[in-house]
Amino acid sequence: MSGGACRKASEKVYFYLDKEISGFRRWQIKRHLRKCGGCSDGYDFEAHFKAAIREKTAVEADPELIGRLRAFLSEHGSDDALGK
Amino acid sequence: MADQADFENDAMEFAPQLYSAALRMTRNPADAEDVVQETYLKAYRAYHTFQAGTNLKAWLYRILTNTYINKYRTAQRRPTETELGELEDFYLFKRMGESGVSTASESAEDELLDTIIDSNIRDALEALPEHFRMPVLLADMEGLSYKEIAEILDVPIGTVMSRLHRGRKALQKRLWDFAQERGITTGPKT
Repeated sequence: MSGGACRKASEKVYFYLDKEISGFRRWQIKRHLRKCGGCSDGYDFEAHFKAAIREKTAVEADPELIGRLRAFLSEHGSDDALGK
Repeated sequence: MADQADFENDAMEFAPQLYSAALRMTRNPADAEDVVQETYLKAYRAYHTFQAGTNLKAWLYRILTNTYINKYRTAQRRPTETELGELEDFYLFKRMGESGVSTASESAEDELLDTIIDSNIRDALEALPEHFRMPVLLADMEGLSYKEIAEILDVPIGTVMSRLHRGRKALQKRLWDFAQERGITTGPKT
């Protein structure tokens, strides 16, 4: 990871992984990653990191939640003048 | 304008996602459910102000985020923005490289990264200043776009990018520092 192309690639890593960069600029990065092992390893690491923190903080959905919310709204929703 | 009678049909599908975000914010199931209930009540009462056809998910997340901040975060001491400093790109990747683990094997590197994250992610997230923690949480854990996060936090998209990118690097630094303090890694402390 050195030189102007590498510096540009490292500045763009989050835009790339977040899919907030498209078209020609995305293609330019892909082309650089094919040629540069150091940048390619860095990108792979960041992609793995992003997926891992999402996975490690994942939350189980509670199947009863929507039922409790509906009951809560029907009980309290009309407390306000705007309510039904 | 949206019709209040349609609220439940329109908004309930987002409840599991909002609950998961609330739980990541509060780290406590009872508090998370309180925040979600209050969010839905506020949203129901204000639904006549919602512009039909705009992003309902972002609107609900915005109410959720404000509810959480007002309820839980105002009184707590948080590190300030300036305490973050400027950090280099690929922060953790470079620290792990310097520690020698990445040259051992790719699987050893993945294993160490998973251990670092497993043991420290909740504390590391908690240690981030709120301005940085929220964009990281919304982007990386909730999978929202920069545009949606800008709407939710009511800041320009450039501010989202800057806070998100700095917040991620700061999160990696916290993880590395915790891993060293807890004896998981022995690389150079920065």
